Amino acid sequence: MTSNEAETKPKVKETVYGYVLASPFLLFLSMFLLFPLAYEIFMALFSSRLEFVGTEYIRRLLVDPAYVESLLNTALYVGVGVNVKMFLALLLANALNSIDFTGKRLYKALIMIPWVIPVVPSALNFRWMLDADYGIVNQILHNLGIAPVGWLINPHLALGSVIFIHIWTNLPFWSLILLSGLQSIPVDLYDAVKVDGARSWQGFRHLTLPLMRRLYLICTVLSTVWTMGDFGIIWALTKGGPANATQIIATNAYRQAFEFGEFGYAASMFLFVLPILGILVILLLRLLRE
Amino acid sequence: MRTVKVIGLVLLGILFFIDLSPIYFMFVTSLEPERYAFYPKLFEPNPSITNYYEGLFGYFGGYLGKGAFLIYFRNSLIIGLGVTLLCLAVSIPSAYSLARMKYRGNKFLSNMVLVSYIIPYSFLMVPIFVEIHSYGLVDTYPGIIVAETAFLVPYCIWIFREYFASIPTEILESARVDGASTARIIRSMIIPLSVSPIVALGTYAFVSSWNEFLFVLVLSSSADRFTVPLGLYFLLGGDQVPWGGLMAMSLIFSIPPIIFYFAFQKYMVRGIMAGAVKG
Repeated sequence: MTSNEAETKPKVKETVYGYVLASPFLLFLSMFLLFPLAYEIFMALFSSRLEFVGTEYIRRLLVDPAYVESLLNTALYVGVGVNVKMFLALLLANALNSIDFTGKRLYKALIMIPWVIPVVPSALNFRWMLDADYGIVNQILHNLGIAPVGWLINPHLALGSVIFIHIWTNLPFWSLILLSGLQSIPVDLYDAVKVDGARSWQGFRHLTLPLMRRLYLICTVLSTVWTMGDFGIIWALTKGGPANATQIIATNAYRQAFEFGEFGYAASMFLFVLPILGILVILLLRLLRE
Repeated sequence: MRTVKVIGLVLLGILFFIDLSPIYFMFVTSLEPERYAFYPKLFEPNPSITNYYEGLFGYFGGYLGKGAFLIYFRNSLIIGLGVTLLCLAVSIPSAYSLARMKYRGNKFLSNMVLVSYIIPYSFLMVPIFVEIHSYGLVDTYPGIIVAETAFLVPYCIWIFREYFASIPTEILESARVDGASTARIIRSMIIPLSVSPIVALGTYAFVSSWNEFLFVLVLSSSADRFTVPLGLYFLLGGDQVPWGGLMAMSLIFSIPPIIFYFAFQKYMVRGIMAGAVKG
């Protein structure tokens, strides 16, 4: 009995202390994740006068052309943006891992600058560079005898320009992550392949690729989740325009909530895609635990 | 092999150009002596620092009140420092609890840290606004600071947790045998042993807050609460956009993040690898 007590007593104490020390995190977790999540569901089900509206908002979403377009734009923005970016990042990481040249460290540091610069300044800079009338890009095209292009004001081009800027901003970060993954592959594994007489591309196929697959997948899913939540870069570039051509979920919901005061409707816009986000987060947790 | 290397180097060269020419162009524009309605140039024949000086201390060419950007920079600084301190105060004890104490629910909480790190908070902008509004904290420093801290705490806990777990058990056990309380162990052992992650994560929190746009946009309504990104953004509203001044302010604004990156480059990549990628 006494030995049992001696074992359980500090455990209870440790549990209490553990929760007391973790309480600041618990407070933030409940205030800024759990409560807002529950409240978002509540807002989507009740009107601002607290009358139960049920699925009314959700049904309205499906016939709202602006919302449907924002879903399609988000799918394109995330699908194309993330995958092209990750593929380029893998190429870049491989090039940096296998090619040696003088000034490589400086090169690696300098190409990070687009990622380090805050998002509003770089969005504004692109707005100025891609301006249809005064932008430097069209100026250069003009000197080459090419007619001006409405990079951000032509509805057919705007989303492509925004995707390019997304890649420009985020490519350096993911290249660096993939590069550190490549560098964590033990060198003696490569030596073992070399003894077998394999060429470097075989080393890439049989060593790099299988070892990097998990990391590549994790990075892609993580970047997909984060890119689904993008707001600032598009808001500062186009505000979702022209004619909703670059409207994504977050910019569209921001407009509904803070320009038209439709809080419940805006909440339901997020709620509608939350299941996809939830599945991706669970997938990511699984991948990380493997 | 040699051709592969040459192709690789050419591609790296092209990337370098695409990466850095917009930054170069930003710099050239910031030296423009004309206030507006000028054509862009690749080289500035009459470089001028008017945009920097006017932007910080003057009337921004008549667009804003005197020294408006100084106020925005001050706001960015106040909010950034508040977020840094609050973030460290919250994450250090929580991370210690998760790293060194055994109790039911520890693993679940660690998973919640990861979930709250991954999730994009823009999805919760509406309920978070309503919540902060109901506390009467919209358009106040504390409201913005508390919200931004919430988004940064998970990452800081994650990295601290890993670091605290790597501190040898013997060191902490000897202190416990001497009868030191947990609070004292954290204060007199953990914190002195963790100076470098504290500095790195503190700077990380500061820079993230410095860069934040969405939640400052949502949670502040008057111009005297604006941070620099908001000030820059709202200058776009007029008929004539003062691009030169905008780029000058943008470049000054980008200096702290750039310094942070170069100072903690190594630490950061390792931290992100350890935190987000290796799990």
